[in-house]
Amino acid sequence: MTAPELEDAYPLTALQSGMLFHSAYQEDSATYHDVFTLILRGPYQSDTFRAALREVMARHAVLRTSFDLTGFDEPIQLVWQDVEPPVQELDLSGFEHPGQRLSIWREQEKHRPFDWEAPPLFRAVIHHLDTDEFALTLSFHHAILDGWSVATMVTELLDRYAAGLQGVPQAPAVPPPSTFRDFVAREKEAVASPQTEQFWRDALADAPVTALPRLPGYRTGDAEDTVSHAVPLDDQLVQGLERAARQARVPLRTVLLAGHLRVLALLTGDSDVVTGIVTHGRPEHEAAEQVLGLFLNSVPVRVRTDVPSWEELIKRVFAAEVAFLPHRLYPLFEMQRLSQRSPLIDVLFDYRDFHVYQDLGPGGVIQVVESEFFEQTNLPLSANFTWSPQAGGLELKLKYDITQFSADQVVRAGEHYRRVFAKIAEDPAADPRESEELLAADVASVEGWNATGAAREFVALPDVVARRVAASPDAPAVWDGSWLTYAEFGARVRGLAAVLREQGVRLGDVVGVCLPRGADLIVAVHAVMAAGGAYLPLEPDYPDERLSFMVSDAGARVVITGEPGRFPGSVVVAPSESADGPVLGLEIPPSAPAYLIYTSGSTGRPKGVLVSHAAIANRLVWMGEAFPLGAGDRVVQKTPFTFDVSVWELFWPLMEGAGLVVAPPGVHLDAAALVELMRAHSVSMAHFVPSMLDAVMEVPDLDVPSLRRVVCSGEALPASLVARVHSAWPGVEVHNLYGPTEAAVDVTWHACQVGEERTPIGAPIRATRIEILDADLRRVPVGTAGELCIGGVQVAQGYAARPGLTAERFVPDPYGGPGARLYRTGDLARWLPDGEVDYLGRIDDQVKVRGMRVELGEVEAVLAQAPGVQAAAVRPVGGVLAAYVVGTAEPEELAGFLRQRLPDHMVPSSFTELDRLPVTANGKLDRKALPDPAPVARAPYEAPRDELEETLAGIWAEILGVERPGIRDDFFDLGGHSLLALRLALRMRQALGREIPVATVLAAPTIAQLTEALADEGDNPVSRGRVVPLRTAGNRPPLFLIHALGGQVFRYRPLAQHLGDDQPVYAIPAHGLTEGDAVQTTIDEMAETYAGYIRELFPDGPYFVGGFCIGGNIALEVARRLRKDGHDVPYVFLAWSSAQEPVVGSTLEDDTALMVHALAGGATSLDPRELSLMEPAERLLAIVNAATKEGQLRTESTDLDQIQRYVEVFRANAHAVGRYKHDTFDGPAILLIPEEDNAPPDEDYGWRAFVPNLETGLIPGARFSALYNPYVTRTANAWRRWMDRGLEHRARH
Amino acid sequence: MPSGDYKVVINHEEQYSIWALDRPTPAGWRDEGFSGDRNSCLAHIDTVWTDMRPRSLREAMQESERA
Repeated sequence: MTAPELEDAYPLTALQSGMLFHSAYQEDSATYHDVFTLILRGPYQSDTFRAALREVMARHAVLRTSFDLTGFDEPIQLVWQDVEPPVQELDLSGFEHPGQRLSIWREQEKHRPFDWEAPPLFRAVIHHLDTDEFALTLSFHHAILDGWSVATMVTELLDRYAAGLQGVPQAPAVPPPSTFRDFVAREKEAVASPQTEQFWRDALADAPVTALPRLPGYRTGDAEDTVSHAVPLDDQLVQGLERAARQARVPLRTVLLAGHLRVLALLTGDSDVVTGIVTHGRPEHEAAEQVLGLFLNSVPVRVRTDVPSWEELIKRVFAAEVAFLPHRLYPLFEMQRLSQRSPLIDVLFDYRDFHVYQDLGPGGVIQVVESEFFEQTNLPLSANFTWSPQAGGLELKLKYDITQFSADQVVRAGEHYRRVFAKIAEDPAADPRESEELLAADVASVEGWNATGAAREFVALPDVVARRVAASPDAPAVWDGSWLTYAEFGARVRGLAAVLREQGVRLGDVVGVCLPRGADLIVAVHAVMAAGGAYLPLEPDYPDERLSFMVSDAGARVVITGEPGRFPGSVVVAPSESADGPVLGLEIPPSAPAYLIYTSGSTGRPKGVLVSHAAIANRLVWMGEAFPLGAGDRVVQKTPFTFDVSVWELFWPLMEGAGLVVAPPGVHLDAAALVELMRAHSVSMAHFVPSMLDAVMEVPDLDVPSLRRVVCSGEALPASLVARVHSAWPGVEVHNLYGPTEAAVDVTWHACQVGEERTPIGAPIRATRIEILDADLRRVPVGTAGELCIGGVQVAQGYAARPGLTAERFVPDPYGGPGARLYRTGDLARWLPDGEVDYLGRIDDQVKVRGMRVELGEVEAVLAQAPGVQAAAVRPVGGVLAAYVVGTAEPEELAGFLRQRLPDHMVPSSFTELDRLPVTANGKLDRKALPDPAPVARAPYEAPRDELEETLAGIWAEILGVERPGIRDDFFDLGGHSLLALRLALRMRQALGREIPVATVLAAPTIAQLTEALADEGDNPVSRGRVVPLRTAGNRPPLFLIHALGGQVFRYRPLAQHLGDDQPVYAIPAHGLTEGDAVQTTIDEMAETYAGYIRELFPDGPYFVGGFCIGGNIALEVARRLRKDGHDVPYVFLAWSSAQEPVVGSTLEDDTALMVHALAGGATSLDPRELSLMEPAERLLAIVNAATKEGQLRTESTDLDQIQRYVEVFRANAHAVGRYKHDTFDGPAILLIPEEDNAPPDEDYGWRAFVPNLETGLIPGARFSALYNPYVTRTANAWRRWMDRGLEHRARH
Repeated sequence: MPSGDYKVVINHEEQYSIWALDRPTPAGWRDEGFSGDRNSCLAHIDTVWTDMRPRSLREAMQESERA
């Protein structure tokens, strides 16, 4: 065969370049590698097939194309004249389940890369399945073919093949008149057209970015691993949709797009939505249909869906489609550049009406039995509508990335599609804005979660307490220096209540209480209620002016205080005016107000929240049922009584007969004194605002043996804080409660579990409902963010003397009983699929940056994790984010840190250093008080200092279009974005001749930093290829995964991808895999070397080490060495590793068995006896051939030398570890057993004899399958939990 | 909050609130008669809702005073 000659060369289209960039970025992923398989019935004749394919290839340039990305000024494609048809034949007919074998092969094929410089960029693979059945797979890089082209190609190929079989002469292989080259030129024209550019500029100016909600634990970004979910659309439904299309005089596609957009509006809770839509740029004539190539583009379509009828929505969608049509060739990548947004679209709409191989009708020589098309794009979710010739109808497949969406979430979205379409088909004149019916499944869930029961029979608080006083008169009730018994307490309350009645206090009157914390205060608030009044807490520390405002605003005529001079116009009562009094026997109705608490108002004028007896009684009765208290319990009262959390501290323990320990004034702010008080008084339950709890955790002596329960509320409770409490106080329950003053303290409850990654605010408590609503007070789906609204008995009466404000925040409850009201909290939250609520921040804190919604809290949380940052705040300033930081970090470093963890638009443009963050009176962050941001400093120009920096500056100038980039200029400040960063990485790779990951550019965005980063790469185990970094970002202790038999580590890559963005993972391959590298022959030698690599990279622990199969055995020995040097190894992971028989015995005894095992995973159709008679070289070849033929070859390479080396490493590994007996290992280790082993619960594969601290856990699947789809996500989640547990144990010891 | 018109509504406890003009009034609420933009509805409520006690409480308090 001679080398093919060049026929043509032309540039890449933007989409082709984009795809290649993505493939380069995720080198081992299947993105843009399409695998299309047809199962065919009929004869297979090799020569005829090859001839047919050769003809097809001759007609179509793309099938003879390769790419050259670096050799020219811009990436170009080269068309070669005569390229050998890339046909491979594999025989599966001898296997019991050839179909299964085929799908395993397909799975591997997705990850077999193409060499872009070697034409052709497709493979045709024939699998023989049965005598009369074979599979044809076209495996290709998406950059050469779109879906239409594949269908055309298959039709043409099979036509020619069928004709060849029958000896029918075929039309000569003349290329179609229209070419892909023309299209490339037309795309260039579109990019150059000012009208088209302006069209997209206008369209994108203020468009939102419609991103579907991710559940906790799921990421955003490019797709990594897509699967599809089929949504059934029955014929009748499709007919209804076609009818709607006819009525509106639009194509069916438009009706489907309208439904798709409505679903997006539902799922985002925003009626203004943008979707990507797949368009094609084939010229509109018949000849163009025959051309193969990639004619696609995805363009954004924006539609406001809040119209009164489906018909109108359909018309609006059609108008949007018509508008973009002339501009559809403008590449998405250019749009992202124009709008400074990436990604511009999160969801894709794809409608395909293919003419797929209809010519091969039944009765032909070749029949299509079934087809399977794998195609992975980089979009997180796409809705693919296809007319399927096999199914004979319309198919909807939701293709989604399993690292971004849960299957359950997508199934529910599919249900939304079905309901939306049913609605359109049923009545196109109906109002599409009504969401109730569309959300039927969500509504049923929400109503189930809200079925919290009715309130218990109402008994007024004073009556409950009076019963306790009568029942246990001698029990201790209130401590403040000394104990008051229940009898003494009851007498004082009765006495003061009688005085209040004498002073004219009547049912519903507001009575001020201005006292320092102490027994007097407790008596006073109880006495006000006993007299039928509602107490108004007046903090003695407040200025007189504020106190008199509250007294007059609330209409409080009487004030209980020890400082009568401060309330000149009021009737003043001293707290100890009477020691005892009569039982009043007052009947307090449920609707009577119990207390009036002022909270800060957004306008600066405080507002008083009036809460009824029924409301607070429900809250306190619920608490008694949820957290039973006994006479022996001691509860600490420390919350200032102006905060409503104090209400349960003041009343609930005394309703339950427990003892109330009153913290002296000031102690609530002194963590050490508080702990001391709790210890001295054997306190069993206490409440903390999370920031106070955080301070408490810093107290050196935390020993409080009596403590059983900690209750948190008032602020978001970070899971990391919960973990600290769990490790500081093992066995103490931590509960997260949530509620505004306007709904009687708390309305949701979550009991925190050890090891939880996120702390939700929980589920609604008794007689309470939670609704998550959009801006129009319509329900949103489960998982979608909306305003948290509260219904039920605990809703407050309103704001005292503020009717307008009350009417605004307390609105009709369309989902509650007749006349019921909902309180709109202004908090942003979502339902989690398990019926708990996840708090997301204040709605006011939600801002939009370049059209994308940003939760300031999310940015702050990540920023607070950056090294050197103690506290952080973020606010929007002039359309960008400004960050404020307490600590000692450089803005450049912070930006780099954030860029690795957050999407571009969430990275603040400026970082201002502050001594401390401004807080409100309640100790919460006061964003409004943040100063103007520090000016974004463009560093003064500094010229390149050496040749390397000179080269880099040149590349920057070229990519950014900047004339003279200084070495301290930030790539992103100069207009760089992530796609340009990809380009930069590729150009540097080309210019410097070395691999430079994009992550490096993101983390080191100035020329000076890049130079440093490149120098840092110098000499280390990674640069020497001894350690493979699978994920370098993150501050958690690194995980080192040791190779299994054969020494390769590729299989650990998916696991590393799913362990979390903050978890660094490294893999250690065996020595001897590259030419000239000696194999290691003992486990001690390996362990010593590997431990050395680990310490060279990370001088100090802790480290996690582990591995599958013998990787676990080696890891244990590595850990032994690390521990001996004083480093911490919280866990050794022994994944499917055996101490008894590390390597299957037969492998060690019989080299033929070893080779079969190494190369084909243990089974081929070859006869082992025959094999053993062969010469070693011959044997190797026979096994490789058989394994290749059967699609079972276990090596990454087909190069015989490399295979030979692999077998040597496999053999050396097997003999090194095979009969190794471990010494006792006294550190923690966990044995992971594959579920399908069905091992008995005490199975230990012989480890317990050597590892006394062994724990065991299950991983999904059999053997290694835990490392692959569909199991790897589950494996990673479990693995991550074990690592967390290891760290937790470590913190505790 | 989207723009658009609202109506003033009132429930069995004689508590006031506002509701989107083009949506059916939820059960247990009746239209008070006033409608307009959001702020004028709230301003109207500020002038007419003078006794903010729920009706049941008002009645219970009258009862209790008589006793």
